[in-house]
Amino acid sequence: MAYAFKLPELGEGMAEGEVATWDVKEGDTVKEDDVLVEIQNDKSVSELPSPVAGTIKQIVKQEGETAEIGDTLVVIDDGSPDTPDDDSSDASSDEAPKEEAAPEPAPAAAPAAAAAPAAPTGVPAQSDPNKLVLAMPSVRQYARDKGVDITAVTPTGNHGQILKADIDNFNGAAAPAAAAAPAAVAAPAAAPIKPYKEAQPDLETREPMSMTRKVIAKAMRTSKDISPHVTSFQDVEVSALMANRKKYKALAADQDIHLTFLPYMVKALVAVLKKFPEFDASIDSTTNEIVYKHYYNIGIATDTDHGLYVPNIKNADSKGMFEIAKEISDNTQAAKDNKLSADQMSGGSITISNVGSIGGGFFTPVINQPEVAILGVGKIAKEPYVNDDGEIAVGNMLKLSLSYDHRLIDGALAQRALNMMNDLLHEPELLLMEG
Amino acid sequence: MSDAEKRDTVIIGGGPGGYVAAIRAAELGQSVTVIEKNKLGGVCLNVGCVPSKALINAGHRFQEASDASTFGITTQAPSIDFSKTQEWKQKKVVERMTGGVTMLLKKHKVDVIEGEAVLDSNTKLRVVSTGPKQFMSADDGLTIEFKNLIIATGSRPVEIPGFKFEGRVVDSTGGLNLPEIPKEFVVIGGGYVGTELAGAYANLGSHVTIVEGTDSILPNFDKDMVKVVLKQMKKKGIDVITGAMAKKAEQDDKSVTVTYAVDGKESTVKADYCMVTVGRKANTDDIGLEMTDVKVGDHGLVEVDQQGRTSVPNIYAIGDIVPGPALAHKAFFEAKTAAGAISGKNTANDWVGVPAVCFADPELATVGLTQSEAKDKGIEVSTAKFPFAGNARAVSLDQPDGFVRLVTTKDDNHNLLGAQVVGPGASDLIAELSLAVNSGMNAEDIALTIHPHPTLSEPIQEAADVAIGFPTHI
Repeated sequence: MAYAFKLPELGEGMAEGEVATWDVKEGDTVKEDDVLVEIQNDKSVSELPSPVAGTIKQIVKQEGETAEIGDTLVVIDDGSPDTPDDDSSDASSDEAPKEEAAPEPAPAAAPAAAAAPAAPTGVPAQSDPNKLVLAMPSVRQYARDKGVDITAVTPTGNHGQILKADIDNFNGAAAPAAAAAPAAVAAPAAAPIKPYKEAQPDLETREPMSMTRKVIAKAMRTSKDISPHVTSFQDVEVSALMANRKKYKALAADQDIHLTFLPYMVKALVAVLKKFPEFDASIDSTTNEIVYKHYYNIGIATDTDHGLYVPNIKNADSKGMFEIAKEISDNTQAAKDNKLSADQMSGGSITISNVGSIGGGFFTPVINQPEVAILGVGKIAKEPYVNDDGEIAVGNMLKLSLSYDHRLIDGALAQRALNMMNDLLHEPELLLMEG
Repeated sequence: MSDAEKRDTVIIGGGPGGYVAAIRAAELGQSVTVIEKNKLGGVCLNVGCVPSKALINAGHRFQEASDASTFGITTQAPSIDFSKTQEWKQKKVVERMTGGVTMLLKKHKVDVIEGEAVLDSNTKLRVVSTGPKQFMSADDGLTIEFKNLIIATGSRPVEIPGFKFEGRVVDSTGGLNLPEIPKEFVVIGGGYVGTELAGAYANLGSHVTIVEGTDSILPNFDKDMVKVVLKQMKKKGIDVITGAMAKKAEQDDKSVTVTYAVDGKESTVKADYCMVTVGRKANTDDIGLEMTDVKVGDHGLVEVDQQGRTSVPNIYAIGDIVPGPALAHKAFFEAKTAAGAISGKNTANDWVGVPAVCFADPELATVGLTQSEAKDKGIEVSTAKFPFAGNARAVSLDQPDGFVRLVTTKDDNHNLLGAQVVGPGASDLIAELSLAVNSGMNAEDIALTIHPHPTLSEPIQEAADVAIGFPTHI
């Protein structure tokens, strides 16, 4: 019997994934748990093992194609005898493998089920036939033509009407995202996106955006639509911090740990978040509620040559400096190797974006939704400054940029938080007290 | 056995389902054959919906000519030559419409074969000349091998014990073609067909008795709608006997005596003719389905998927032989769906509501859910009603009885789930409500749509105003 292997749910809120690499080809024999395919899912890559042993009959989704949860990726002949397929959800994909869709003479003894025969049809099955679907007949037809189960579409029309655009958006945008960010959905409608017109076609080339790039593009656009961003800047004199790091760097190295400035930032942020809980929060705009998080998961934006990732240090409040340093290194490596899991990148409190290591100063980072603030860390520059004794001295000036969601955080509060960051990083011993 | 002739799309039956399927299939580029054993147009055009509307219209004209005193018009008692009425009905209505169907099929290059189709297998059928089956042999007629088949064989009147269709005991076909206007007319079964023809003959001057088995005529319509019809029937002197078990009909040269029992107590009624309209039976028992793998369910109805496909993927079934109301317009829709499916279109029978109409006096119509159907489904609904008595047009027509009712969701959306109309023009008015129900509109959409004044359509808008809590003329 042909076993249709469908894209399973890979992580919370993940609706689709891109087929990165097939580890098998048609005709191959696979054992149970053999890796079949690698799926790039938002920002993580998952290896999917085969749930059955058999022969690869047909690869339905090719490398580079995007599959939604429930889409058939591959058909495996597991050698068992054919039985009538009563799984009506099969028909929900118009890209079901041809073997399944081709009309086959019905068995003489029809299945006992009283329902209408599960005859092959190009019309998508309705996951909930009893649901009240409000849609113009022409929109219903459009949904069928697009292979969309209209009962699963989130309506955006008046009094729950499903519009043609909702059918179009069903494939691309997952329903929860649309629900959480109505503003983001409405915006493109107001200003239709025009195709890019080549100015000098000979000197321009086109390349498809990678899955990761698309995700980043969408996330950034969405964040700017949702949150009114304000960024406050702060110079911090960090000579003492540098001395401290220098002192313990070798000790860390003995334990095979690379001690950077980032663990200090993480620790300082935990202290700030504890004092100012507004920074460890999210807004649920569907209910107009503020969700306060009683955990401290500090995200570190990690640049790789295949995109930007934000793994977070879980429960940073309960971890020591070295432990955090090690975890940052491990996460960076995992990001570079494309091995981060979805869980490692969700459930964050606040994010640190560090461009200092490559020489940046102040900048205006974009909030990592659904968080409400992001700390941009710039370089440490030698600059003149007035020291505690009122003298001009050469200071080691760290450039901090704090972007925050003005819906929740006002400027004074942000400045107080930055002041606390300043104190903690200027006098790192304080981290022992507050960190 | 003769060699099988290979054909693309074959349709058994040239009624509303069959001929529409043929036209649509031809429009989609299929090569189409229709096999009809009787007359193109089927029951609907020949002996159903259409001729009955002709008789109903004649009845109304006769009534209007008989009594216009309300409007200050005095008339002589009119006379009627019923043979002329029948000739008009047959020649100017039925034959004109069926002639149109013949033309349309010709225009679309549909091959029409006269004869009866009997299935041999999942891919073959034989066409035999119409006649008693026992004279058929394996070599009789033409054998056709079809790529795709649409079965649209329709339904026929049910006969009940003690009421064999002969002489003065007639089915609906006979009832439409009576040679004279009966003085006394008994109708067994007060459903759509019985009620319509009872009204037509009452308007033409018959004294009519309706004998109904359940506790009300028109059991498919809401009680308060039926009440409006009963009021008119009472005015016209129609006797309605409910909860009655029809026992037997005995006839001689001049009359028929019908015996029925209510609560075990037998009574008789003597009449010129007795028409039995107690339901219809799917024509699936005589077409060789047992030679195929087509699955037939309860009441002889063929099981189909959303596109009308049976358990045999290249055989489709539409119209009265599949579940759902046995109505011509449902068959039209299913016909287009099946023809589209054969051409690989993503058609589906996914209507929200099928309108149903009864041309009683006054007319009744419904689409979507009734209040009680919604309740059975566990859906909380509100209803909003507007009477024709508050409508200038209805009053000026001297037909102020009846109302429009909207059934909406109980929430603030007032989504339209169903609607009922009883009153003048209900059969046409329901079209707007069918559009609204099938388009997922809400009461506000209707309330914000300008309806022309003064027309019978206004009560729809008024009922929508009631639904959203801002009634105007009530």
